[in-house]
Amino acid sequence: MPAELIGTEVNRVEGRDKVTGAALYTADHAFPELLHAVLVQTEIPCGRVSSLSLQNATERASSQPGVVYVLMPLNCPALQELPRELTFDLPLERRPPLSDLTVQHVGQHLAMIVATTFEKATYAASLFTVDYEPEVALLSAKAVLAAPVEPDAKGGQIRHGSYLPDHFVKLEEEKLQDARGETQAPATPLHVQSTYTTPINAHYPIELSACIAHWQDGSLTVHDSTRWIYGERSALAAYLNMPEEKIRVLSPLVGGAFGSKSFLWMHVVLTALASREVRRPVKLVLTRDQMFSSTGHRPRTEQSLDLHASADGRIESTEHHTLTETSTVAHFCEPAGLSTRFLYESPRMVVSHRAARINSPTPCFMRGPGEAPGLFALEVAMDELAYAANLDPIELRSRNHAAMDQASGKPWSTKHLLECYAQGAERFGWSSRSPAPRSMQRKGVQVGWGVATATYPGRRMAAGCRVTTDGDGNVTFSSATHEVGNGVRTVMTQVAADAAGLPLDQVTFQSGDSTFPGAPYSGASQTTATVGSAVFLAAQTWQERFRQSLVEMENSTFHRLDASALKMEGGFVNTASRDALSVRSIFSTLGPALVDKLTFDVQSTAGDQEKFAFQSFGAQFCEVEVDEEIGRATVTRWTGVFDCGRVLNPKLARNQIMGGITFGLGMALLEQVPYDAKTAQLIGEYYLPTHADRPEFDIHFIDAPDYALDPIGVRGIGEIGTCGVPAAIANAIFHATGKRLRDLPITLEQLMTPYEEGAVR
Amino acid sequence: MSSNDQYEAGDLCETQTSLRINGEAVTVKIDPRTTLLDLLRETLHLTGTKKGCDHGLCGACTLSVDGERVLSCLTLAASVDGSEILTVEGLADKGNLSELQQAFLDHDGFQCGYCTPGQISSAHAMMQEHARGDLSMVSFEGTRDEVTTGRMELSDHEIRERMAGNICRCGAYANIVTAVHAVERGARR
Repeated sequence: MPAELIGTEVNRVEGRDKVTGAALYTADHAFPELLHAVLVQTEIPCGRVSSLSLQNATERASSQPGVVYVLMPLNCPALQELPRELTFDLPLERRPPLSDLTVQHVGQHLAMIVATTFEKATYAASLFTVDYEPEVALLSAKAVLAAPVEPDAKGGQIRHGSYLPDHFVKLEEEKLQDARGETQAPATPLHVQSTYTTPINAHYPIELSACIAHWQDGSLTVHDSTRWIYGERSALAAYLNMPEEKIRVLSPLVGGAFGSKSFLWMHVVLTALASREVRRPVKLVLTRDQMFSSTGHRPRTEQSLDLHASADGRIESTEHHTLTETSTVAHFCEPAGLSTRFLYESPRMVVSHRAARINSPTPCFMRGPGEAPGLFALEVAMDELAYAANLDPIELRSRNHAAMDQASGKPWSTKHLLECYAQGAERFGWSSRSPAPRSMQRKGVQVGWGVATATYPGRRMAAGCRVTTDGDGNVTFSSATHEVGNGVRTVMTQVAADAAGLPLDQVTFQSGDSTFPGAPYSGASQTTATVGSAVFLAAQTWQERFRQSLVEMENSTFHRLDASALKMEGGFVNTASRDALSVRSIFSTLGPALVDKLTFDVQSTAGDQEKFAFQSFGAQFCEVEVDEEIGRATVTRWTGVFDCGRVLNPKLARNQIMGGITFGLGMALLEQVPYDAKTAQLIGEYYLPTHADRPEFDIHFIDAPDYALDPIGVRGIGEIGTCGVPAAIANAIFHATGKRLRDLPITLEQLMTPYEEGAVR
Repeated sequence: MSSNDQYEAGDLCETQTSLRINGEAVTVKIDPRTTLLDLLRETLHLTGTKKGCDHGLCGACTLSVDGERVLSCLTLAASVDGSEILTVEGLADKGNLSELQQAFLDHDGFQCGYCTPGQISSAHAMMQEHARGDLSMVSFEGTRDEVTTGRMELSDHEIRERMAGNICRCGAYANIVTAVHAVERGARR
C-alpha cells in the first residue's frame, strides 16, 4: 500500500470551520421554542434538605417571570437505578439524581429551573434557597479511616468507609492489589522511602458541558458534549426505562474533555426529563463552578513509595501504596500504582490501592489516570534513589530497564525506551549537567535539569465503521467516535484515503452520532488504534469491492481483468496494459450501479492481545529556573522523545504532546481545586497554564510502527505527553534548589522556604 | 434586596440596543441583564464567540468593541449601545480567510478549537495594540529607545505575555504564537 498521506502534515479537516467560528459545538445548536435550564445545587457537604423549604423554594422560583417548569426531588419522575455493569467498576453514580433528600456533597443537583430565557432562569435559580439539617461530613480519606463506618443506605446506593478495589475499570488484568516475589523486603544497602501527595485536579475543558434535549413521538434526541455516545445512550435508556433505539445521542465537536464529559450524565437525564415535561426543547449549559461538581475530577492521592536497591542501584524491591478518595455514591479508584508493577525490573513488588468514600463530588478519569499522579511518586523516588546511589538518573533507569512485562509475563510488542533516553539526552544536552544540587545558576536564579520516564498502555478495543459512497465517487466513513480535539477526523481521513487509494478530497470521516456503528469512549489513548483499525478495514474493503465491481461490470473498461491487476492510488486505477483512469471518471459512467455495492458496514475486533504486552514509553527532560527570592519556578525548556508506534500526522501529534506536557506542567506547579477544608466550599480559582507559562518545546518521535497492536501500527498519544511531567519538573527543582518537594502543586510557599544544608534527605 | 422588587413585580422592562455587528446594523429589544456574549449567541445566533467560564477568566469570549478587545461575558449588551462589534465571524473576507485565520490553520494553532475564536479575536486586536505602541510588561525588557518610541519587535515573549488572558486547555500555545509571529513577519515584509 503506498502510504502517501499517512505520516504527512495534513491540516485539520475541520480546521477551517474552527478558525471562522462556523464550527458547531453542542450549545451552538438552535431550536425553535427552545427553553433554557439552569441547575441549582446543594451548598453543604452532608445532611438533609428540608422538604418544606424545597416546596417554598419551588413556589418562589415558579412565580418568576418566564419560568415554565421547576424540576426537584419532590416532583421528579422516578428514575430507574443504573445496571450494575455501569456502576460496579465505572464511575457512574449508583444513586439516580433527585431521588432522595439527603445531601452527599456540595454541588449535588437539587433543582432544575426551566425558563424562556437564560437570564430569567438564572434569576429564578438565585431565589431557590433551601434549609438544611446538616450532619457531620467526612471530607478526607484520613477522616473516613478515623471514623466508625456507617451502614450502607438506599440498598447500597449510598456507601461509607473505605475499600480495596480489585482492578481498574473493566480491565481485570490491571490489578490494583498486586504482588510478586518474597513476602519481606530484603535488607539492601540503598533504601528510599517517601510519601507523596497530589491534590484534586480539574479537567477544565474550555467548553462548558452542555446538552440540548428534545422529544418527538416518544423518541429522545440529545445533543451533548459527550465523549462516550454509546455509554450515554445506555445510561439514559436505563434511567428512563426506555429502549436504546428510541434514543439518539449526538456529540458534535467537543471543546476538550481530558477525561471529563463522560460518566456523570445526571444533568443530561434531568434535561431530558424537563424537556419531556414541558414538551419543548430544553438547553442546559453548566456553569464553570458546576463543572467542578458535576463532570468529575482527579481525586487526591497520598502515595507511599519504598525502593530497595543494591549498592550499584539495581532495584530488588518496590512497594507503592496509594490512599485515594471517591464519593459515597460511586466507585472510582485513581490507579496510581499500575505502572509501578512493570516499569522497572524488580524481583519483589507490592502495589495496593485503598479508596475512601468521602462527602465530595464523584471523581473520574483525568488525562493519564493513574500515571499522572503515580509516575510523579515513582519517578521522584527514582531520582531520590539516583542521588542515594550517586548515579546519573538516566543511568539508574537504564540499569533497571525492564526487558519484558513483569506484570503479565509477556514480551513487549515493541519497546524503544533506551533510545528515548539516549536521543533525549543528546537533544537536551544532558551530558553538560553538573549533578550536584544548587550547582547551576543563571542571571541570579537557580537552574535545574530534571528527567523522568513517561509510560502509558497501548490500548485497542472493538469498533465499527460505516461506508457510504455517492454517485460522484465521494466516500464517507462514519463511526460513533468523537472529535474532542484529538484530530480523529483528520487522521481517520488520512487512513481511509490511503487504504482506499483515494485522494483526501474524495474522503470524509464523520463522528458524533449514535446512529453510526459503535466506538468506545474517546479516552485511554485508544481511539487511533481502535477506530483506525475499523476505518482501515472499511477502506480496504471499499477498494476490494470497487476493483471487483470494475472487473465484473460489463460496461467497465476493466471488464474481465483480474481484480488484483488493478492498482489504486490517489484516486486513479492503474493497470499494466491501459492508461490510468480516475475514480471520478469511472463514477461518471458507472456511478449509479456502484453506490449500493460500495455502501456497507464493517466491524473490527480488538485484535490479538494475547501474545504481547503493549506499552508506550518516553523520556521527559526539562530545565527549570527557580527564583527563590519570590518563590517562582519557570519551566524554560522541554525535550520529549516518545516511543508510541507510528505517527500518522506529525503536526497534530506534536501539538497533542505539547498539550499533554503543558497539562502536566499545570499539575506540577499550579493546579488544585480550591476547596475549603472545613466547609468543602470553593474558595478561589483554579489556576491553569497560560501562554506565558509554557516552555520552549523540542518534541521527537521514535516513529517505529507497532503492527502487533493494529494494522496501521499506532499506539495512541493522548495521555503519554502528561505522564512523567510533574516528576521531571520536581526533579529539576530539586537539582536547582536542593529541596525535595513531594507535595503537588509545588507552590510559592514551598519554593520560598529557605534552603538548609542537610535538611532534606 | 430592594432591587428584587421590580423583578418580582412582573416582566422586566426591556431596553432597546443598537449595534453594528461585523458591519451590519442590528437593533434589538433585550433584557438589560443580557451580556453581549449571550445576546450574540442566544438571540442573534452568532455562535462563533464562545462561553468558557462566563466570568472573565478564560478569554474564550474575546471580541472587539470599537476596535478594542473585550471579554463579552463581562460586558452587558446595553452598556455598549451604539458600538461597532467585530466577532470571529467578521474576520474572513467573503469566504477568504484572514491572514491570521490562515496562519492558525496552517500552524495548527488549536486542537479542540473551542478557545480559537477568542484566541484569533484577541490576537487580531493585540497586533493593532502593538502596532500603535501599547506597551506590555515584557516591553520593558527592550532597550530604552524601543520603550520610549514604542517601536519594539513583537517577539515570541511579547506575544505570550499579551495573549496570556486566552487560556487553551489543549495546550496549543506554541503553535498559536508561531501563527501570530508568521503574520507579523508577513506584515513587516
